[in-house]
Amino acid sequence: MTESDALLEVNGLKTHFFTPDGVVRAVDGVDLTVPRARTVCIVGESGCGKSITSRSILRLIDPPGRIVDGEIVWRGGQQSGRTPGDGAAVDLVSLDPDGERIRRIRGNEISMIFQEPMASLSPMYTVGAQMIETIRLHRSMSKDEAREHATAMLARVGIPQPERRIDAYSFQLSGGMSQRVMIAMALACQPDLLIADEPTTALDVTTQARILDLIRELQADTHMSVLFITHDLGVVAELADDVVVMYLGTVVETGSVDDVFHDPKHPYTRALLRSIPTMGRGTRERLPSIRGMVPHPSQRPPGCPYHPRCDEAIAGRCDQEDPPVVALGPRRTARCVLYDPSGGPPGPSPASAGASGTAEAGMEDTP
Amino acid sequence: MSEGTPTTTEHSASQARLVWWNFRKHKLAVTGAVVTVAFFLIAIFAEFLAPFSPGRVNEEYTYAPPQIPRIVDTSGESWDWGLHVYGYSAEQDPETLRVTYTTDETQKIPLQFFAKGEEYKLFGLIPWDRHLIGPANPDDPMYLLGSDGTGRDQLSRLMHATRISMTVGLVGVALAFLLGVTLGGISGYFGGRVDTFIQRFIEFVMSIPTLPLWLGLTAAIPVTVGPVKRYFLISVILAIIAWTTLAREVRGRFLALRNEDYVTSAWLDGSSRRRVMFRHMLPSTTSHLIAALTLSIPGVILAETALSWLGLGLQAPVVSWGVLLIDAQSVRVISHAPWLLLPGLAVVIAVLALNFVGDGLRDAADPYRS
Amino acid sequence: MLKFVGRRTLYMVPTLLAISVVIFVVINLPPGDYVTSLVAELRGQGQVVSMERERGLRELYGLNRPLWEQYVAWVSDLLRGDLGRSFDLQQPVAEVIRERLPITVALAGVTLLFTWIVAFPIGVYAAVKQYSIGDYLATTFGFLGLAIPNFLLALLLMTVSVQYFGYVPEGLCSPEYCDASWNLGKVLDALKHWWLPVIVIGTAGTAGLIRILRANLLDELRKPYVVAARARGVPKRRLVARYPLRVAMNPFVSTVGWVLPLLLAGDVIVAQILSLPTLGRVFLTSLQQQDMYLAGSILMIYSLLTVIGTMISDLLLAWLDPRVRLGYQ
Ligand SMILES: Nc1ncnc2c1ncn2[C@@H]1O[C@H](COP(=O)(O)OP(=O)(O)O)[C@@H](O)[C@H]1O
Ligand code: SF4
Ligand SMILES: [Mg+2]
Repeated sequence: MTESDALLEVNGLKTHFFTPDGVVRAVDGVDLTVPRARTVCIVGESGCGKSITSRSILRLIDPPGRIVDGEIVWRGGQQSGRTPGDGAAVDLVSLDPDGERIRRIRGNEISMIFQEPMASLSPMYTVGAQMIETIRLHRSMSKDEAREHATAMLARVGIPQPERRIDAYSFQLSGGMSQRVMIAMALACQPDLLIADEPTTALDVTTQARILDLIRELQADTHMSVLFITHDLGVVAELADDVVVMYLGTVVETGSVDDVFHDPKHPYTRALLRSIPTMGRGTRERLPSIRGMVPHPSQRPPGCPYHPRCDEAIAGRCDQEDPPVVALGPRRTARCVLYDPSGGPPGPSPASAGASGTAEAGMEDTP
Repeated sequence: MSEGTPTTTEHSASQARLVWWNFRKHKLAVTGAVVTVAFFLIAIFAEFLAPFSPGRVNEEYTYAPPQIPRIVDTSGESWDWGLHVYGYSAEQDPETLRVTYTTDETQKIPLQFFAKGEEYKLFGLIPWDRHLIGPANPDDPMYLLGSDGTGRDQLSRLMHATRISMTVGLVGVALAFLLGVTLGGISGYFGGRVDTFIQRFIEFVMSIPTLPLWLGLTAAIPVTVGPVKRYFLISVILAIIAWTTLAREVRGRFLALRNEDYVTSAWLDGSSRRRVMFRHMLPSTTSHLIAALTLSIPGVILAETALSWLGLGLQAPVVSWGVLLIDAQSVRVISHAPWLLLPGLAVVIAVLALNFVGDGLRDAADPYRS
Repeated sequence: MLKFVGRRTLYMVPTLLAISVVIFVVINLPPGDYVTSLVAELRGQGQVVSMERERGLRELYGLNRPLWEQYVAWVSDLLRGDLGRSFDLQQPVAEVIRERLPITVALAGVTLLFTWIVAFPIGVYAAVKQYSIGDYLATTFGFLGLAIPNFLLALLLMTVSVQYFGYVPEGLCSPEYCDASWNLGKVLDALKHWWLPVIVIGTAGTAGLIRILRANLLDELRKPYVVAARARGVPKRRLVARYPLRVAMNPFVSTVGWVLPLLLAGDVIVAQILSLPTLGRVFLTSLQQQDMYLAGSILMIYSLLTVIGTMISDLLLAWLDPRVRLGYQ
């Protein structure tokens, strides 16, 4: 991948919360890349730091939280209609979180949609008022022009009677409609990147599928990139080009969707894949779930954070040293000692582990 | 953002421990609790703790200023150890004929712990004559917090007033609690039309301006009523308003609980309605209720103080903080004898302490809210 | 909206009726009645009143009729504006009220304004700068303000005023200015007299409002729509002012409903100490003398003011909050 292909590059991001009960290392060394015009999915169990990662990108972390380390390189904002001078690479971590530069990136170059669409809209203003406000924040348009643009956007995301709905309040809309409104608002300024933080989790299955279709369609039309956050591997399979698997504030594996699903390397990824319900299995049968519980990030185990739950953990190694991030190919990494080329105490060889993983995952992925 | 935090409702025993743990973290709340307990201890042991009875007058020492207890007397050649206070010397203004007292360092009044003094009945049962502290000679003047216009000891009066004021709050709130839990519980448990009716009723009671109604009701108490009956009538009147907030709190809790799984499952198990209500719903609301209760005592204390001060609440010879403050009606008296405002300080401290305790309890009962 | 106003206004009628029943009960609680006290008063003045005359008086005032008839008579008297006669002031109650109501409402209004002006910035600041020194100060004030009985505050401030300014601000104006037309001197004189009652009556309300506003705003600031708006690039200042504040404003608007009774109650107590020419003092005297009809009439006026206040705040709330207006909450 060439430099300019990467729209967003997160390197060694650490976001910690300094609470009275101790430091919560919610995000603790995350690397990820979002290429242009592609969809990257971050997947992981609840509480593993997906939301905090995405909020860190837009610098939306409030005290007691703080980005303590890392860089977030942004190469967007080259389109016409933006202020000249933009477009060069900028490290978002170096910006003042209340400053003008990041404010112009938010909602303009990078947009974000959230888990609870209804709660994400203020109940005190109409949908239109909030859309017009956003548009006029980033584009010099008159109120009427902005309103027209907002109506067009509402129509674009498939809202029937947009001229009427624009004057509705959030509490008058269904969850699916609200999420469509959020998407319309997010795309109103043609961002380069859309961050979607579990946008369908709160919706029912049918609505969820429609919203996913909409996002995919809009992505294909506008060539924007999408950073999609979910804990649902089914959604990943449907949407992603690339996958980032997170566990306890760290990235444990990255790769293209095919590689990760057909040849998962990291023991955690494999366990995750084993726990997806598939058509073949009876629904009554209990899914094999990952042994143990996700520890709270304030009680993160030393060494590999996954070792207390890992079946392949190597005593004396995994519980002591941080596993290295091993590059397994272009855009393919795993953070696990099993693939450490520098060796160490004997363990199952990377090749054999990889092979068995392939077989397993391959079987499971076949409906 | 709290996806990762546990939200299961534990059994009430461990929940109590959880609440206690959380409560202990609030320093202000713990301080408040200590102060509150101290006030109630004073209320219980008032006769013993107070050097004198609240009604003992001494025309010789009117508006005597507070004395400072001293341990060592350095006035003589050698240091003289022993707890004592200085006596008073009187001075009469030749024009106004008003007598002012000043502490006189030449007189020494020795003090004693467990001093023999007036007889009383502890808890109304055990006859005794010892007081925690008092002058060695019972006839010597000792006014650690000064005296009032008829030479009554402010400290003793304050302690007896603490008993009345704190218990009026308790009794009033206890009555309000009965009403509130009953109506709020019914409202929240049955929901529907019963709920609507009770809610309308509560809204109505709340729409009547509180203090004027209180005043009206207390004024309606016949003047001839004896002190004990009057005390209870006042408590009842105070409870009439305080119950509405409690009822709302209870109702809200019950409504929320109705939807919780374990209540539903208890229902499905075929438990009787009453059983569900008392075995499952009440224990888990307890901590919230205690918080709400604690928070409603200050209002009652403040109301009693205001009513009594206006002469419409409790009346002498009963002493409460409000009754004591009647002596401090004018600026002239206050600048002459500022210690007469001490009961006001007691009110402020008690109200603050109870508020801190209540707030701490509420936060502790809701550990995941903040 | 019009329908809402209509419904809300109609709703006042049963409330007021119910209140009038309660007040009528209170009036009739003490043993004896109006004639008993009237006769006692007359006898106290040395007049001889026979049993015959007493019975006659009772008939004249309708006190021998059944209670519900008396109630109807009382209410219709009220509706006609006939509120009885005050023993103490030797004039019709309606006249007393007409004289004193404007100044009472004016004092309540000024105090309400004071409450808002003080509480609003402090509450917002305390929430936006949570855990700052300012926040702690505001919180402390919030606790203290609610813990001090207002008569105590009045006494303290009066003592301070005597010590440092050399005067006790009794009444609401000095005699030489009371009937004068407005000029600089009168304004200064008013300031000299009004500051104390306004602070004393307003403190509890201010403290309560700061606490409510702070808590509400903190709640709102945590809501997802605030983050969402920030993620769209809404600047911080505008974010606070436009989004959460609009919702946190609700308690402010509701204050008209709950601060008003508080102010009136404060007036009852402070009017006594400062000899204010407001309704509060008349009310208190009537209570102390068990002049229950007069007290009942004033109580009714208070209730009317409160009910109107609540209605105004409900209407404002509906105007401010679309959820209320459109019936979604
Ligand atoms: N304001 C905060 N204070 C302390 N800890 C926090 C805060 N916000 C999030 N966390 C912690 O950070 C971790 C990651 O949270 P999050 O990114 O929301 O997880 P998810 O992957 O489910 O989106 C969680 O364990 C959470 O407890
Ligand atoms: S580093 Fe060790 S514990 Fe961690 S996933 Fe790899 S094998 Fe398991
Ligand atoms: Mg999340």
